[in-house]
Amino acid sequence: MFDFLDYFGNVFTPLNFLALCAGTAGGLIMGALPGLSPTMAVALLIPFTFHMDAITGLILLGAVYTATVAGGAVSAILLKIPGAPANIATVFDGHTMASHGRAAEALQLSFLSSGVGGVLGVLVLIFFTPVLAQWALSFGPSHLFWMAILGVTVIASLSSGSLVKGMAAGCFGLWISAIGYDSVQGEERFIFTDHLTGGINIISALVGLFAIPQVIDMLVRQRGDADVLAMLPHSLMAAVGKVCRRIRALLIGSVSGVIIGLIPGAGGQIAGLIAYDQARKFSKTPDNFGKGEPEGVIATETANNAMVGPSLVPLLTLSVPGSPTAAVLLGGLLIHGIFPGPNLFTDYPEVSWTFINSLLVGQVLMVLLGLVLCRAAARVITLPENFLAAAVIVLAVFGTYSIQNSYSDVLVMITLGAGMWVLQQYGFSAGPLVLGIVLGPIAESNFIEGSIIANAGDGMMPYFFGGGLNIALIGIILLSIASSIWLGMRKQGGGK
Amino acid sequence: MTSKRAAVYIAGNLINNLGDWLMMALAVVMAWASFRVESEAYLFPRMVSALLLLFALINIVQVTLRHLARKNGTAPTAPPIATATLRRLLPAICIVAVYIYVCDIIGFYWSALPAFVLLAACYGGALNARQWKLLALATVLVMGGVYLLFDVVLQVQTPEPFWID
Repeated sequence: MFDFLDYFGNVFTPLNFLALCAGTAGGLIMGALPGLSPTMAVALLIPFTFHMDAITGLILLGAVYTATVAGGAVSAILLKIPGAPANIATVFDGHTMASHGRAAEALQLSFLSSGVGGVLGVLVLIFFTPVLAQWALSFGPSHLFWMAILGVTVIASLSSGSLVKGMAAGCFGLWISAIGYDSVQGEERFIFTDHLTGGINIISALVGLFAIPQVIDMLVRQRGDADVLAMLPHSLMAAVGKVCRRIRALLIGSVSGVIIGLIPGAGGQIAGLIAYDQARKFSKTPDNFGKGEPEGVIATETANNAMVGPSLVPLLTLSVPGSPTAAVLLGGLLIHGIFPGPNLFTDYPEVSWTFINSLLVGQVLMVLLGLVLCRAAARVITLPENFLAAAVIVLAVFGTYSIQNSYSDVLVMITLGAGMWVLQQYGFSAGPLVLGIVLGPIAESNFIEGSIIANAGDGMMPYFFGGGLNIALIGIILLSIASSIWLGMRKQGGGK
Repeated sequence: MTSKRAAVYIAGNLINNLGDWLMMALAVVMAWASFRVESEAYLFPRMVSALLLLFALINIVQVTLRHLARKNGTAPTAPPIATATLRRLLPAICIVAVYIYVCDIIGFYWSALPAFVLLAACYGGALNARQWKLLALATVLVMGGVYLLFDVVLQVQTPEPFWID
């Protein structure tokens, strides 16, 4: 239970601590910039971490992940533009506080509550992951196959406006993961051009699908000179006192974030909105929400950081990402040859526990650096988007090329990115597609392995559709589809 | 319905739902590619492409019905990708296309430098003297940072210009 303490010191080696600090600071800045999302930031960084030691690379990615989520509150509060989808609810009260000259207070509340939520979330990760990993040891190929399908289905049903489009995108991702050479028989599949000989590299796909559409959006958008609200100084101790006195909002945010984080595919956006809604329901002054109520900021920011740790639980134990950003992290693990799953903590204890410990230390660093960033926030968020877009294109090309020194990867990245932007304009989203690409090989290999076992036994139907766990997993898949259909019908009914 | 009216409906459906028709076309191609080869290695792609075809078909039926309903009574909507958007993106498309094409010929750094400057300049509106200085500074910082990171720290070998043997 306390195995994580054995590797706690690894976080403080010079290189690892430098990566943690750089990742946290960089993540806060990237999160604060309206044009860069956490998913895009992590996706862009993965090619660089490829050349690093696995532990250092993962520490950097984890630090950026947690810090970008927290940093997104800066533009939400100052510009009324959420830096990440997770910060949508922060706008409601955070920006209102800023418009009344309380921007500094809002930012301080945001970072302090992010830290509280984040630490709780990582503690859940530390104590819950080994338990789930033990349970997951009993998973066979059929269960892992259904888990992979569950990952694609949940994110398709939750992150897309249309369930059908989400499922189509997920299937599209599963199919293109099959391009290249079949892992079992080594047979060539769908290699229409020499550039596809090595298949679709996960990193090229991640960078292309997440970074390029956002760059195109930045170029299309004509953001005028930012109206950044003035920041009057505010006492940090007063902010600490305010957070401590609002235990209910902290609890609601933490519980919402943890539960949503554990559900594969749900993501931070939902955690923040649910926490905000619940905090308002349980508040003694619900009418103050939307008018600059500190509890609104506290509950939301606690939730979206509390989500981070638990979102890694299904990722590390079952290889099923808990959010699109976790899906990108899965790609980061795979390129270092680390295969998440029930044996992660027995096969790679040093890597896994050091990474988790770095998330814990990173939460504290995030609060400290975030409070420092408050002072420079106004300068950071007014960086011109055209410069950012140009820089991201250059970084994306270099980063993608550096993985395999392959020009084909660059072409794949640009093609997928441009195609994704077009599809996004018509309601398709990148999340299910990326999960399809990442989980495709897992789904296929377990399907094939399961087929071999099934054909030697009772046959395919009993093996894949029989047994309590298979039925439970299929039930959850069907439930997520049904709930998405029901929510869609409710939305349509409400619109009429 | 006259043939002219049908043509207008079809053209409008294609333009307004281009992405959906693109997904449908991709689904058909993928299904064809998966089913044309008799091999066990294609079993999983066949399953997936069949599902993709089904979802793409359902989607096309939904968007077509919505399009027909719109034409019959509700207010028309503009296509998701407006001509103005494409016009705005045209410089970026040209710059990035040339950049990607020549980076293998003249080297990554020599191609990235003008690409960065042109992209930033084209989308910065009318640049005054201060903004040109800012652009120059940003170029030095970004390209210098990229060189430091890739060449010095990560030691990634990028293609050299053709004039270097």
